[in-house]
Amino acid sequence: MASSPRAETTRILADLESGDRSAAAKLLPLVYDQLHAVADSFFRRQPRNHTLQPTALVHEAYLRLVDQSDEKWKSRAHFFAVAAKAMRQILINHAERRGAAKRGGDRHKLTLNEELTPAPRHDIDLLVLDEALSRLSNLSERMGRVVELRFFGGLTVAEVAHVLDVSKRTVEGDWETARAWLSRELSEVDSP
Amino acid sequence: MTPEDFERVRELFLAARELNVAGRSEYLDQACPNDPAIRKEVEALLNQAGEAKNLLEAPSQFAGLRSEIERVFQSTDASPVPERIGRYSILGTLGDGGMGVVYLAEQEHPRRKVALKVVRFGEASRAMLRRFEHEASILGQLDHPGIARIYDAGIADMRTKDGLTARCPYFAMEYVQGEGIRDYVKHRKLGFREQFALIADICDAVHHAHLKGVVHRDLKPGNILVTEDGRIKVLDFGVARATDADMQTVTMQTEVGQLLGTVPYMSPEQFSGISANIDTRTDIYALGVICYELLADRLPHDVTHVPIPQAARIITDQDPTALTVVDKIYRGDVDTIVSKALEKDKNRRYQSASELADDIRRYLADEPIAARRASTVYQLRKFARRNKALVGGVVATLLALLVGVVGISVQAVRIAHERDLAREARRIAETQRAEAERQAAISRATVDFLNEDLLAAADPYDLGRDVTVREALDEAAGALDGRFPDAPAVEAAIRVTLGATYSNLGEHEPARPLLEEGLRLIQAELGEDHPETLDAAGYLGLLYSRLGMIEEAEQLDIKTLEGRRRVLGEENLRTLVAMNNLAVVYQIQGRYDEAEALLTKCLETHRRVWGADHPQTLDMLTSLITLYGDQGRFEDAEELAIEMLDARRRTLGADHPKTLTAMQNLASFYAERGRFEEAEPLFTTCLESRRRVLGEEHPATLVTLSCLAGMFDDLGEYEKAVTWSTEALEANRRVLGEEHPQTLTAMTRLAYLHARNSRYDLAEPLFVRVLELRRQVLGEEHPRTLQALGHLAFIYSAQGRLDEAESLNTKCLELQRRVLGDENPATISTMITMGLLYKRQGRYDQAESMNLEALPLARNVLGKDHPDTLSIINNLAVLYRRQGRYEEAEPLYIEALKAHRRVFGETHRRTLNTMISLAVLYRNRERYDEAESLYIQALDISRQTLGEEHQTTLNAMNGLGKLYRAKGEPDKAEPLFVAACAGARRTLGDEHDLALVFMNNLGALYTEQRRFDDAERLLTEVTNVRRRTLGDEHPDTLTSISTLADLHFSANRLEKAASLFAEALAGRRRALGEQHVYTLDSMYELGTTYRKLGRLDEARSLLEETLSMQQQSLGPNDDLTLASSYELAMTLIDLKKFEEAEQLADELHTHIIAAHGSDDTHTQKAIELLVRLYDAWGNPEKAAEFRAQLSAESSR
Repeated sequence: MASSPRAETTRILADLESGDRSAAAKLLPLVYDQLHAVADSFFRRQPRNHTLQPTALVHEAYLRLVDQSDEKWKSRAHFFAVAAKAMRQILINHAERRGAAKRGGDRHKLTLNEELTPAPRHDIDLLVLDEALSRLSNLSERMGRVVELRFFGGLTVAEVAHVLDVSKRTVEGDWETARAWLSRELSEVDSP
Repeated sequence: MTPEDFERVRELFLAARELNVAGRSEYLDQACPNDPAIRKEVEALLNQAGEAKNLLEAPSQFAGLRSEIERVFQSTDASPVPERIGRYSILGTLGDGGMGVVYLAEQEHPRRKVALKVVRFGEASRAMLRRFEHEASILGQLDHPGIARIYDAGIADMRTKDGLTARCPYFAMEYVQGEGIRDYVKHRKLGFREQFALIADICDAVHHAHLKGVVHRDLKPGNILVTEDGRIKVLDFGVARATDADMQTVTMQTEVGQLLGTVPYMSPEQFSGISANIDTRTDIYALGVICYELLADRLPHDVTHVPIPQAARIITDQDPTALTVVDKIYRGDVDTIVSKALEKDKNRRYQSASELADDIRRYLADEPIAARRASTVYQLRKFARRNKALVGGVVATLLALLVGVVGISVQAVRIAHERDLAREARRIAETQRAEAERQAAISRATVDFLNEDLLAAADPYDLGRDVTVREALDEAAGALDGRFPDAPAVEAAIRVTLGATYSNLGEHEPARPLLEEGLRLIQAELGEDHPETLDAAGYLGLLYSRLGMIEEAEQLDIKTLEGRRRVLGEENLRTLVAMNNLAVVYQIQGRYDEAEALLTKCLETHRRVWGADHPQTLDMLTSLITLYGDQGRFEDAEELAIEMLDARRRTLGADHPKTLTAMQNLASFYAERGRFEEAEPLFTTCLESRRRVLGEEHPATLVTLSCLAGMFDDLGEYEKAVTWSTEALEANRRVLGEEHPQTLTAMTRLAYLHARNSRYDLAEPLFVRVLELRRQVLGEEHPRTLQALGHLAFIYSAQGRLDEAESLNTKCLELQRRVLGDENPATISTMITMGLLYKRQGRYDQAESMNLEALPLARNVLGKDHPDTLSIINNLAVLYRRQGRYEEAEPLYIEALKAHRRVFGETHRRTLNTMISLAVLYRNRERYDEAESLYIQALDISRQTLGEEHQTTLNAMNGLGKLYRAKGEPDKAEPLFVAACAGARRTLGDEHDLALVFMNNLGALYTEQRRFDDAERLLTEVTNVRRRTLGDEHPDTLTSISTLADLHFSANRLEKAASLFAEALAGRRRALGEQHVYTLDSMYELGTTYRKLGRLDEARSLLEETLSMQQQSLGPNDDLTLASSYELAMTLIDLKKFEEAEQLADELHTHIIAAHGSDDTHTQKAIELLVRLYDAWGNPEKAAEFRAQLSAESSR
């Protein structure tokens, strides 16, 4: 019998649980497919003005892929860790392709230091974020992962702490520092 | 900046962040006086801190992200509108809903417009579609003006304009023209009383569905329309459930969009991820949210822009803003009603939609609402539920009261006696005596209360054992001795009560002295025929049968029955109970006819006197059903079980524990007969209801859980089965303790599961433990202990620990014959195990006589269609086949297969095994076509129902492989053997019996393909393992020795081959007998090897012996006979006995032509033989003549 993606996922999560790091690589394509499927069905029926967060997609992929009746909390964290990476890749790859195709690379950075009224629409340029995140990872790999897990994966502090095997305090500290750092990076406008 | 620097930045930033501006700079001065770069960075971050607070979290930032995601993912366009779906033509799209698209469609007959919901399944499994159909049929029964009707549901071809078709499940629903309830309320500017009234109408509709057992699970304003004339219509009833793939929660299969729309209406239990937590009260919660939303114009929890995990936390943990806070007019009853619907704990909500509707309408009619009245009762109930010790506590109190009260009354009586002489005190004495009588009445009432209310409720078979009850009992029993010297009747009553309670709690040992002494006392006091004496005897009889003291139980039960007949009459309820109990004892003894006669009579009286629906009538019916089940009369049992379920539903309602028991029993019958499609929905419903009604860990719930697990195994889902079954066992251990009979049953079930899947290593420790505990709890000779002994013997036998198995099996059979007699199902079952063991030991004669002894017993006691009877027939057939007694084997096989198909159906694994076994017979008899079609059929079914790596599938593969090998098609055989080997090694382990069989076959095939190294590696491994585990002379060991010898022979390592063939021959002569085909094979093979080695005299005598026996047993034209005579002729030529060789060669030529015709390779070989003979003999003319024939043959 061909195994279903769900059974496959469950098996891989068990491998991850038992410390097989290479299992994450096997999970990635499954998550990838599922994210596409989820997003696909989402856009078919939601009105345009609806807000969507990537974490919603990740969570939904999780619901679809993981049999929660026998899941362990740890598996959940492992899954989200992989899913966060998948989500980031999906979004960035596409943004890159689009950016490259459309206008040879010039893009606007997010401005956070504009007038406070009326509330500006702080749209995040994903490529800028991604680049900043990569730079951040060079300074502190762990901090980079904290952001990835929280922002793209929707993990709680406790879950991130579990995945990275550090204390919650560390995660909180990383998250605060990273946000301040990213905020600075994203606001350095290189406007002409 | 280096990572180290950055780490420093992080530390400083986090520390400084806590300080005020002045403090920060002071701190930084101190902390990094001479590193300006780091300090600058820290300051920059501190400046950003306020700004960063919302970064990556504020929803507004995602507005742009959304369009990004949309662009990323929106690769495929929405699928085009189809033209037709089944018999509906599509007019347009109504909407894109949760699980699929809704089309406006037209139906021709009757002509009407329908809303056609096409369900999107990710991957449609069989189970899923089955479930879909099942649910759809239930939904079809919903008939309420407030519910959009489901006209039809099914799976149909969807055809687009381009002519593309796809299969899709669909619902055809009533097409409702109306407005969403939110819009309706706004547009019409309804006041809150009118809105409230609308909600009550919705409740009515929802309640109707709940009564039919359908939960909506996805109630939300979008699913509720109001028509022009103000009538509500609820849409999509139960659709969420019907399309629910794997019994997961609604959240599992809904898509993100739907989820976002649904989240605010989801109840806390829906986020738990456990589908069993969802029930009708989940809908009550959603109704509460809808009501809140309409009245307050906002959601109780605003979770629309919140990530789902967070939303789940909010809904689960946070209390909503009270309606009163939103608007003061809702203060009081409205707030109370809505809050009660919105309780996080479903037990605290309205328990039905009608209760909610009633309260709304009471409010609208200015009557007091129930939600308020119930609150004190609720507090008490909650306390009771939380405090498991309560029942025990109440019992303890009552027992203390009882002992106390009786103490007072006895004292009062005594005082009265002392003063009896004093006339002036007589009046006082009279008062005292009256008081004493009153007290005695109280104590009697207390005993009754204990018996009938509290302790009956503590029956572990119903409710689970409560430690505190046990403690209370121990205390009471301890206080009993010498307490009532003057009131033996009271003491007796208390002893009997305590004893019966112990017994009901499964604590049989302490019950026995209490009941025995109680009976003795009461009998002495009140006489043999007093109803109370008979009651005590009844309890004791029941205890005896629970203790396995069957003889004692029988005697006492007969006495009780006779006494009650005399005293109470034939038709009294207690008389009938006694009749039932005696029948059950007969049943345990295997005296099925007597049991049946008694039960039938009892039931008949019951029905006539007390009515068919009387609860006790139905209890008796249960006994009869069980009896039929034991007798293997499944059809009768099934008929009654259906009747039973129906009656329980009718009289007690769908959720009553007894109704659920009836459901459980019916489902078990279906499952036992392989009718899983019927069993599954019943088991599932039963499990859900028991979880809901009795609780997650209730013993009865656990029984269903482990039955369902067993069924998963039947469906080839071994791992899932093990998970569930283990869960059930663990829970049983927790709830009832390890020694409880039900825990042991659960343990046996799990062990059985492992054993059936050949995981003997896992089964063994469980069976050992069961046996140990049975011995401890029930004693050495209790029927159940003996059963456990038999199980363990079976496992040892399967593990190849044949000596241990034999000693256990012999002991078990001996005890059973003595304790239960021969005509007892358990004894018969052990005979079967014993027969199997003998077969494995190669002691075919003993195996045969054991089975032949068991068969008439089984036919007589169990009936001809009982699984055990069929097992015996099967085993006999296999036995005959192994011995080459094909003529005897075939009719048995055909009988067995027919019966299996009839009893278990085509796809049951037992049927499959019989098919495969018959196919082996056909293969051995070279009826290849029949064999092949049977194999292929079995393999197909097995793959589908049990899976690719299931033992039965592997068996079929191997058998088919052997068939191809026998037919001379090794290329077709190889992949089958390889797959079978790999599968068996992976799932069963390298040393498992089956793995070895498959390896052996593959090795033989490699030999044939001249891949000697591969062959040797495999065959040596197999032989070594078998020598070690089975012994040198086990038939299987001999087979692999012989296969290994064959390899050496083919590789021309003749000395080695000869010694192995000789070993195989010697072993087979001893284990199988002189005449066995295998023995003859070995003789032929050894003879051939001797000839090749030049040991011609030995070769000659061996081959002559072989030939003469083959001619007798196989006939002169059999291939094996021909092969032997060919070898013998060759030997004679080598020995230069030309005359004898000539005669033999001529005969051979004739027989070959008779068997194979003249233009056959065999015939060529015969001619070659003649050529060789005349060459050697020096007769060139004759040689030339046959050479010419040969070349003519080959040129043809």
